[in-house]
Amino acid sequence: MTRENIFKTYLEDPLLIEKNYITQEKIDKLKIIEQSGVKLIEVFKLAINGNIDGETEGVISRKINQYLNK
Amino acid sequence: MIIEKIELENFMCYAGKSSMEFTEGINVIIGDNGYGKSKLYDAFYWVMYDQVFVPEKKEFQNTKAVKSKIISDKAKSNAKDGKVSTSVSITFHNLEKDNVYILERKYTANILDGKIVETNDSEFTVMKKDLSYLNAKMVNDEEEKRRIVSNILPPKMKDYLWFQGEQVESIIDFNKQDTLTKAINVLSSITRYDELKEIAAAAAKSGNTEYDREVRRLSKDIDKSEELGKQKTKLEERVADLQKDEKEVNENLSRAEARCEELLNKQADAQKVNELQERKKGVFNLLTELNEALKEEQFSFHRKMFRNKWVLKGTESLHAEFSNRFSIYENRKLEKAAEIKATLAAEDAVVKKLQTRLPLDVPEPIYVQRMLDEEKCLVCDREAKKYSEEWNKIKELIDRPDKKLKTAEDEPISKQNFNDDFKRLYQNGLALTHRIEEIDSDIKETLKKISSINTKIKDANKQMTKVEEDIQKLLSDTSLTLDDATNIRNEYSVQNKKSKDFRDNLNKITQQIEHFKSTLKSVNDQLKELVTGEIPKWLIEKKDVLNDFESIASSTRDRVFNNLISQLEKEANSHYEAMTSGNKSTRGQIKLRRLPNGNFMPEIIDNSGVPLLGSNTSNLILVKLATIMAIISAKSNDGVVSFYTLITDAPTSVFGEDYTMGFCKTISKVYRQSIIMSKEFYKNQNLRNELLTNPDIKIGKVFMITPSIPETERSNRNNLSTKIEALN
Repeated sequence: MTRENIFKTYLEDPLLIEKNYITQEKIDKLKIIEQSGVKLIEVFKLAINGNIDGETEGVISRKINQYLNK
Repeated sequence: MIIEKIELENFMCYAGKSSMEFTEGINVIIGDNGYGKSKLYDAFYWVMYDQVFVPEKKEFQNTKAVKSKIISDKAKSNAKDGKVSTSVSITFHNLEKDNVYILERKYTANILDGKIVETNDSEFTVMKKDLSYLNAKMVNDEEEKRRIVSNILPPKMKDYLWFQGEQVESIIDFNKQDTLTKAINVLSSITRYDELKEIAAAAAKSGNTEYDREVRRLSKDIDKSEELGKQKTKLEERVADLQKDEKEVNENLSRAEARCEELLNKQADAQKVNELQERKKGVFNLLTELNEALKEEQFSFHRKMFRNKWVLKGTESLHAEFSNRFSIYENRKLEKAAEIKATLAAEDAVVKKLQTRLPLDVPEPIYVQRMLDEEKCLVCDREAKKYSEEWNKIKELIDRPDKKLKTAEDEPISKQNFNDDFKRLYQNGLALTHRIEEIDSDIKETLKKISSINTKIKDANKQMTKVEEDIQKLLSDTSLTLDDATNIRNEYSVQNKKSKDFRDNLNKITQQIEHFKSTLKSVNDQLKELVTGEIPKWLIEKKDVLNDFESIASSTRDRVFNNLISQLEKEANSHYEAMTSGNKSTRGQIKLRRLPNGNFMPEIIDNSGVPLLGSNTSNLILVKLATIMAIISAKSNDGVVSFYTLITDAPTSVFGEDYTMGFCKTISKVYRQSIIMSKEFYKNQNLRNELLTNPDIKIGKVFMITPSIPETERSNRNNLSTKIEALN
């Protein structure tokens, strides 16, 4: 299971569209290496990449926190 | 990664040097029981894990424990003073990267004065070729060696890829609810989603804490906010505790429900077992009665020898003979009597005749004698010369017939008179003659009765054997014990009651959680109302994003897991169908049933989704194998397990020949390479031919192994070696 696969499964969640985070068209085109401009989606990436790269939960949380504090 | 070769030297029954080369596809090592299949499996296992299976202990033991037992007896007996060793090396080839790893394990013992001096440890070496055509280099770093071994066969996957036939049952244990979940966790990527879910939960918690802090900081009534904050913490703790309880009760409920289900599944089988037990009891009673009757007949048989006069059997002619002789005796007696009567009559006639001439004793006998002496009749004074007619006539007067008469009357018919005895004997014999005539039919009738009892006993014994076999088969097929069968109904009631109690308790806890959550919401609202000024938008956004992240991580994990389960179910059914294609009695399809605690349990259902009861052991094992294959292949994109080799010793022995070909076809499709040891192909030539020629099987190398000494004649193993013959 690649990080791209995991990312895609996260993007399948209906909540993203329900809460107007992003549109389906954009989701279809989105790749993990591209900037989405959506904070929640960027949080997904930080978590997925961090987990696959073997970072600890603490490190990943800190990165997410830093990102959202911007 | 495929295994290209295994080389053995003096390893257990493989005396001397032996090797086998393997290719992609299904590689099969064929041999009967005791031919060395398991020892070959041990050879693979020993190289990787420094352990061999010890049948007496029923466990894998380290070289330290088995020591020189792993060296071939032939090698040990032939060795002179010095060293004797065994080694096994396996060549792994990563076809994608074209690099090669040669793993070798060696054990050496010393021989001093003909006695073996054992060492404790084996030596393990790893050689690596970065490209297959380059020279191999020794890997010296222990950490690197461990990494290579772990990469070739990750420890957590070992149980699902290298196993012996008997282990299949425990890989997915239907009695332990989480074994399938564990297998899914180990063999699929779901753990990553679990980890992400935990990361999201921690991030959301941290975001909420930060937000709450800000809410309290902006409060117009700090004291009240503090108080509400404490209340909130308590409520959150209470909810967390209740959620823990909820999880625990769910676990218990799952266990109880699974047990109920299991018992329900087994109830029909238990009923059958109980019925068979009842039948057995009936047959046992019948047998007891019949044996009693037979015993009685046997005693009575001896008594009848005398009571029913069977001892006289064969004496029929004696009475006839006696009767004949008695008749002769009687006739003679009658003849004698007639003779006497005739004599008497003759004598009477003579007497009568005499009396007509002269009266008795006239003349007196002394005168008659004088006449005879003087040869002259003194009555008529005429001459009567001696022996003349006249002389004889005179003599007749002296030979008195009354003397003869007396003799004839007194003469007995025989010397001794047994007449009465003979007659009694005859009469008794006559009475017995009628009994003798009946003896044959009497004996025949008795023997018929005994034979009939014996036939009934034989039938009853057959019935008993059949019932016992049926019971044993049923017990083995259903993994029931006799006690289980007896107690199943009681235990079902107990488990059912438990389920009900757990469900009631669960409802109570759920209601409490709802109640506390609702209170928590009210506390949050109150806290919000106390806020003066504005909470920073970025903080609100952060909190929302993190809570949504938690929610999405959780729902994504569940969605992925459910999809995985559906995919596994589909895959498992495809494997199950392929493996069981050779057996028309196989029914149903695999359903992975979700338990209240989130675990899954495989079961067999019919087309309408109703669980099938009383599936046999073979079916259940195939369900497990199909599920394991599905889980392993689910990791790959194309459904083929490319990186790992399946090695299994006697996997088909647990489910019989009918499924062997189906198993091989499926294995050759699911695994890029597999090495299986099997006796089924040894016994069945047709099956072996099919293995080698069936186009649906991607066949690798096939070997036949044969020991130099049959297992039954191995009191001395000093000449034991194993011949390896390539069949293709």
